[in-house]
Amino acid sequence: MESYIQIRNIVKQFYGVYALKDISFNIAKGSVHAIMGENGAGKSTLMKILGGVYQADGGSITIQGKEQRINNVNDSAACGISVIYQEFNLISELTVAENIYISDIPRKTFLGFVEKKKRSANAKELLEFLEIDVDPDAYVKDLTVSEKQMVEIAKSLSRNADIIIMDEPTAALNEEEVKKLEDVVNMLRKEGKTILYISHRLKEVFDMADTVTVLRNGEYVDTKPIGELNETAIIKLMVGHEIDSSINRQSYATERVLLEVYNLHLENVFAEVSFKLHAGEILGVAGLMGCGREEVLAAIYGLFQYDSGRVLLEGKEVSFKSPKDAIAHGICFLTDDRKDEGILPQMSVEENTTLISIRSAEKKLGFYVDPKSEAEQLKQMTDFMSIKYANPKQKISYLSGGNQQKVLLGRNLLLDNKVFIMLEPTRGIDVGAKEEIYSLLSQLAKEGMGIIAVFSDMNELIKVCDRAIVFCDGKVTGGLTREEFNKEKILTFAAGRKR
Amino acid sequence: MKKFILKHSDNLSLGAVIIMLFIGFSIMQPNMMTAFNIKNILVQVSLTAIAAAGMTFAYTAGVFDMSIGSILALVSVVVAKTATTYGFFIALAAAVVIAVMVGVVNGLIVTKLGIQAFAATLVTMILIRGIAVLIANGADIPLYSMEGIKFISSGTIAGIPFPIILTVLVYIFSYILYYTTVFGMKLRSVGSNADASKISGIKTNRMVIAAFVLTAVTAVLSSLIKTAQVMFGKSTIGEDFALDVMTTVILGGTLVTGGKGNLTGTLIASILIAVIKNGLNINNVNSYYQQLIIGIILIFALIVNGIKTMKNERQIRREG
Repeated sequence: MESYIQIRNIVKQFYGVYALKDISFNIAKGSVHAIMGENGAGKSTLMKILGGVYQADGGSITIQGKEQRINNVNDSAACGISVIYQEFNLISELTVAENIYISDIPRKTFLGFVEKKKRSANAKELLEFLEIDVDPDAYVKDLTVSEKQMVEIAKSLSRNADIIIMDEPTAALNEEEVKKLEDVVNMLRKEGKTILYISHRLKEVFDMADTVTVLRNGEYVDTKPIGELNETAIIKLMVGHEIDSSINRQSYATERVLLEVYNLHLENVFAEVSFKLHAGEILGVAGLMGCGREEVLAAIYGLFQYDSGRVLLEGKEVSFKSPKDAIAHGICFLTDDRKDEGILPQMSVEENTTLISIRSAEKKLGFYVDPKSEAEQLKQMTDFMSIKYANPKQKISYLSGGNQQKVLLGRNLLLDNKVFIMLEPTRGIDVGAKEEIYSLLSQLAKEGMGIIAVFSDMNELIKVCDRAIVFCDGKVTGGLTREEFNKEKILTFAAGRKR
Repeated sequence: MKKFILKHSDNLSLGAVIIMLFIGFSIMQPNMMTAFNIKNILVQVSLTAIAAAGMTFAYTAGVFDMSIGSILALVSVVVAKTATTYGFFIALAAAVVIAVMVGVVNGLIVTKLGIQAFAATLVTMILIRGIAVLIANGADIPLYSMEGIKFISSGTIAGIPFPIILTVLVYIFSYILYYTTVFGMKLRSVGSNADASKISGIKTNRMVIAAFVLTAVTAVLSSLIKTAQVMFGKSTIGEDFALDVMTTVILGGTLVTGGKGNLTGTLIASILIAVIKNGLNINNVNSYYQQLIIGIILIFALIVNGIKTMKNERQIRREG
């Protein structure tokens, strides 16, 4: 028998890099089909192709025996596909009912006035069918994340979608809300809808899915009925063969404790977070998207405040009210969003480098910026990291990503810092620059600095770090020493399975 | 030399436009070229140029101040009221205190309440004008008894009109503040990227408030010149002033999106606008047309500014 949906040889490239390579598999009607893979495996790209956001460079999609050309979002909707993205497509200033019927407004035939009552009643019916307790006349901006999710599902149903794609629907939900979503998904299956479910979380997949397809690095790995799989098997499929973690990197970790964190807690974001950082150590922080690790580190740095818990710097209790405080105590921070939170686009390479240090010199020099000292500081960092630029007054926007990143590192290194918190220090830079950053981290560790580095790419984490902690749902679910490093283990912790 | 021209192409092209306009107007009306008229133009320039220096700081920090014209009126009224009883210097001190307060209020509304600068200063513009009218009791406050005040607008030192000296001083101070101090660097960095500045330990709110205060304080000086010109404390002065000043700053090449001010450009642009206004006046062009022409210049300036901003963004996107 022919399958309901046949995906054949789908190829997608971005600027010459394969995001998807020759993907083929079938999806059965009325099933919940989970699509799994690490960050960057190509899951979202595939879903965006089905949703008409991207166009495949090659391959075909056949639905109910008919080959479909999906060139845009409307084509996708015409095929009965509805996609619920991680960033919802709801308009917060409109009501629930208005959002559900946004593209299909019930109108009186005469004059075309909107039939508000009918719309609300229809919406109510839909919501009741889904057993969701949401007022159709409530404004979307007042809903919780999980309620918004349900509204998205109702919207899909209102359009008579037969195929509903959910892209990491549980990333921002708590356990109870996940349970509710599971109920709704089961109900939809009973109604004969086909559901494509993308998730990192193993538990949900085992609770809901009938079939699992695993992608890795943009390639198809396998499709199996859930009954033939267990957690270890899925992780093995996702990770592929073991990577070589025996690369000899000298460890400079000492016994001296720099930073201690005890029971850090912020309502609904993270809880019971405790860890230690030693001088000369590179501590890797792993976890999946939305696991709360960036938030914990930003809170320690004083970007926002935590509810309770203690932070000790070299044995003394500290609590930073602002980044200024943290900097004064020798802690620095590298953002993972270089463009929006890192560079000062209109300003020169020199000014971008000395942004922090020039102010700490303020006390000595008064209010005056000494151009000589600025130039010297830039030179110091240029020599240290071989930053490439045409001249010190050149705008930083002209530099490559790697060089911009070095400037941002230099901005923090000009002061005598003890602890360096880095979010994705190698994001968006080329391979060569990555290697330079790795050896730079080593160099800093050797000099006795304590480094906390968030890496999404586990290969990098394993390569660079001395020790790692893993987050899931705002909690530390595991810790590994260098000897224990292993992708499967990290992934198991990240998926929330304590061992 | 080529490098210099390239680097300063914006300012040089504005300067070239001034010279061409000046020659054009002079041919049409020879009275343009007289020493008297040139002095007239320069005094006219000082009025906007001084406040525009402050506004350049506001734009650099990523905000702007629509209430500046109302500050002009409030200061004028307060100075007139206090000067006649307490003397000029007490009046000046009162004016500065009021300006700082207004700046702080503007800044707090924008930073703490998170209201956009446009809406926030639109509201304070109306409020402050209201306060000025109240204090003046709806009438002009004469300053006949204070002949000395006249010096601010028409006095000379070594033959140079005092407003021009004042303008030069304000610009020297502004240049130092903008280019050579930590304050200037922080201000630019906040306007360039507020999030990055915050992460780098800059108190971004304080910088925005400071920018509003600077703008209000420069408005005090402009107000004094205007008040001395008419020798009245008037609650009606400066009604189109905010528009004039903002036109000047944008025309001068300061980025409307923040992070990059151009003080030289602001100064040249205020000369340009004064030359246009004076040239039209001296050629007996109806004042209604003057508004129209200033409006057209503003559109032109905004387009050029928009192109520059777009270029900037594209560059960031490409490289980032």
